[in-house]
Amino acid sequence: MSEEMGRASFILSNEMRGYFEKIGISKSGKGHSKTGYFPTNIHPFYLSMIMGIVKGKLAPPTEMSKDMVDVWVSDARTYEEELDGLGFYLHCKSLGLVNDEADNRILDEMKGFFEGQEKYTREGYQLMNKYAQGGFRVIMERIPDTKDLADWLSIYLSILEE
Amino acid sequence: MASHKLRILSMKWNNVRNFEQLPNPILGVEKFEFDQDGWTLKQIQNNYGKTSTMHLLRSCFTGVKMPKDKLKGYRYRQGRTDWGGDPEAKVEFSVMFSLDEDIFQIRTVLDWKNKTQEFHTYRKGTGGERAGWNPPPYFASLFEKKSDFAELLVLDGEKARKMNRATGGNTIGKAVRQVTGLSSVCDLIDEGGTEGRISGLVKLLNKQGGERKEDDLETALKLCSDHKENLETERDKLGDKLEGLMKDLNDTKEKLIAFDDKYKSGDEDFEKAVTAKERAKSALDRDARNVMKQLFNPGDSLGDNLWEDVKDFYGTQIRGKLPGEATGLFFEEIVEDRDECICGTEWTEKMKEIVLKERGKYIDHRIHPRVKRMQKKVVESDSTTDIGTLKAGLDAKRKAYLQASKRERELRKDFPEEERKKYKTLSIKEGKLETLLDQEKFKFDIYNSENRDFILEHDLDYHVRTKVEKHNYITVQPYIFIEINNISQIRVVEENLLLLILDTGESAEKARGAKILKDVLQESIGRVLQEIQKELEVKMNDFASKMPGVEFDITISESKLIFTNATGDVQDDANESAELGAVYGLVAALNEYADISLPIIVDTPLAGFGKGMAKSWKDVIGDGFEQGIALLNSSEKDDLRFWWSQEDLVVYTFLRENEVIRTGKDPNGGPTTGTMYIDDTLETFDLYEIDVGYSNRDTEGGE
Repeated sequence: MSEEMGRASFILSNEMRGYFEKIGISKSGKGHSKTGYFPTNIHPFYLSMIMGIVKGKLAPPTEMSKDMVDVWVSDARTYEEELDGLGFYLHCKSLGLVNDEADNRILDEMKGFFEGQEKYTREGYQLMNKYAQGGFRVIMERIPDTKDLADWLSIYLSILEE
Repeated sequence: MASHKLRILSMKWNNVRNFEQLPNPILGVEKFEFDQDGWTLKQIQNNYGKTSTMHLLRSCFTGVKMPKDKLKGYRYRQGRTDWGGDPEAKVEFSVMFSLDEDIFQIRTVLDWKNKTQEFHTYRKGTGGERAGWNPPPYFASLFEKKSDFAELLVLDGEKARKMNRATGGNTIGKAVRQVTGLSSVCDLIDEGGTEGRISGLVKLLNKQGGERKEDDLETALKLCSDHKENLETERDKLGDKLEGLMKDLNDTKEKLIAFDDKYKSGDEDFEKAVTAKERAKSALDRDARNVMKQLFNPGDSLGDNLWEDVKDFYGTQIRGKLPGEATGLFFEEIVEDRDECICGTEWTEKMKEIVLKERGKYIDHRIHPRVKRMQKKVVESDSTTDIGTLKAGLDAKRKAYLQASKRERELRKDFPEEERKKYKTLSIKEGKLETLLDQEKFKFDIYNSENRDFILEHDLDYHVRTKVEKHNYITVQPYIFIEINNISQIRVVEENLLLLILDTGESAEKARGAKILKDVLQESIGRVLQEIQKELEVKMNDFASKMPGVEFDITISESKLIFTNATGDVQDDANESAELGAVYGLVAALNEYADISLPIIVDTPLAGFGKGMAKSWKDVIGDGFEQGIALLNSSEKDDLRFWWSQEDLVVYTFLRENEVIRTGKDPNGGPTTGTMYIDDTLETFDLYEIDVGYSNRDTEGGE
């Protein structure tokens, strides 16, 4: 089942959660990693999103049974302005506005992307969720079985660097 | 100038770890006394009992007993040679203090067999020693049960690092409250996992009744209180479970340590391999965490090409063109609500069309500051590293860990097979217990934490907020608040329900008064703490900046220190010397802030710093306290040579009767024998272990 249209929050789909929990998310999980865990859900979500962006992969998010935050928390909070900037840039790029001189259209899109001081509109979340799901597909394919965080990160960085 | 003065006068040990009886009645100094207006340096070999002494000292300072399952760890450890102590005896440690004119001694006795600990207090002029922890009242007001405060004065590297780690607790916040004396005022308001006294008063008033609103709020309050009680019960159950797990883990660790000790004492290579593996593991964990943090900077994770495109976009497309802000309906309102334009001209259709078209050039005032900040941050952002560098660093740490593990495994292979099997079983058990403990601790914090960062990070306030103004924007719906799992957050709902119910009547007036008082106090205390924090930050940065490697701006949060580098990026995992430098800076700043001149006691203070840091350490800490006691190993003694050889410090060396001073071993090169004693000569202090070569020695501390 697709979550594509539904949520006004980030989506760490059930399958993503299941995959990353095998390594370990926070201290709540069933992780096997011997070199630490992902401190929060936002970490694997973000790493998946970055992978999707770098590889240019988008996919409709699949079902998420649990709730997920709708603002950048934990380590992501430090870079929330940059992440706003990245998200909105990708949004404009998807609309072909990056090289457009039509300033007003970009401004209009801002209104349709940002919600208040720290949230996004459904459209905003949708784009980032799609990149995260797309990135997760790459991760699943390329790093199917690694369960130790340091090992996983090393492979992840190699793929990102390619 | 401080109004009070606390000093440590002397210490005594009886059957503690490797100390039989100190001071030794036959050999060495008869009284082990400290310089009261300067520094005393105690040179003690690693593994003799430095860390145990620190724990015992903290216990004497605070009256907080040691965990029962740890007591055995302090017992006298008879080595292969009979040194004369009694491994079956109770452990005794005492420390003599002076507080202004008052002289008193706190002695603690650890009956490790029966798992009990006692305190005895002697106060000069009060007729001998009495049972119990009964120091002068001012000392008690400063230290009783205040472990966070005592940890700042009886400081070792482990404690210092702990202060820099984010936890569910508010370690630094508590310490600041204690040193400034604000902790008693803070008791009035809701803080630190407990309900304040004023909240208790509001509840009492509610019980007393008054004219009450007749609606569903009463039912909601009842359900809310029940839910809170359930959460507290669940938390307490988890607390008990945690205690059991901790005990089990400690027992397992103790068995593993005993196992390693057995081989370590006979095999220097094995000892080094174990230590090297532990260090490599800790370095790898830190690096993995740091890589993740670094990747959140899109400038680092996306590589220059993509991020440069993003920067260009904001630089060229929008920069300088960011429009003004306006409320969302501003343009519609002036066209629809006014009879004429704001310039006084009567509206024409053309004018209306132009004005409405104009709205596209403005953005809503709610997102304007955000967009402005975003644009500025992105355009000014920089990559601080790249993926290749991150990967190379991480892989180097992985390799180091693998090599260290391999080396340790190889040496372990030499052990008898039965022993190896036993060790493996214990290791697996330890790993499982640690994972389980982490998971349970996390669950416990979900219920119990009041740390704002933790609550936000895990969205624990999600079900508290509403958009209903008449309910003060806090939910009153049982089906919603029943989803709240954090006790501090359910309290917010409960308190709000109480206030909504107590709408009229005398009790309501009192309750409202109490609530106002609490709010005012909460705000005032918040401001005072903020002011104190700012002042402390300035002083801390001033102290810490003297340490090479501390090239950060350091800020204080409730739970940890935050390091911001020169480019403005927060770096939670600063290098070890920066972390330690910052904590020493904080301690020195707190000491300057306090109304009492306090001593500081430090264990292997240079562990974690390079040799080059010794001078800076002395400038920050050595000169920052009027009385200091440092427990050093010989390598640190050598690093601080410039200090003790030039200045008139009190110096002591702990050694055994037959030990050759220059080698720290017996004449035949074997382990040291004979009774332990304390030497107070500068010559012994200077020459101790000089032939070993200090640079080859472990400076990482340990017992």
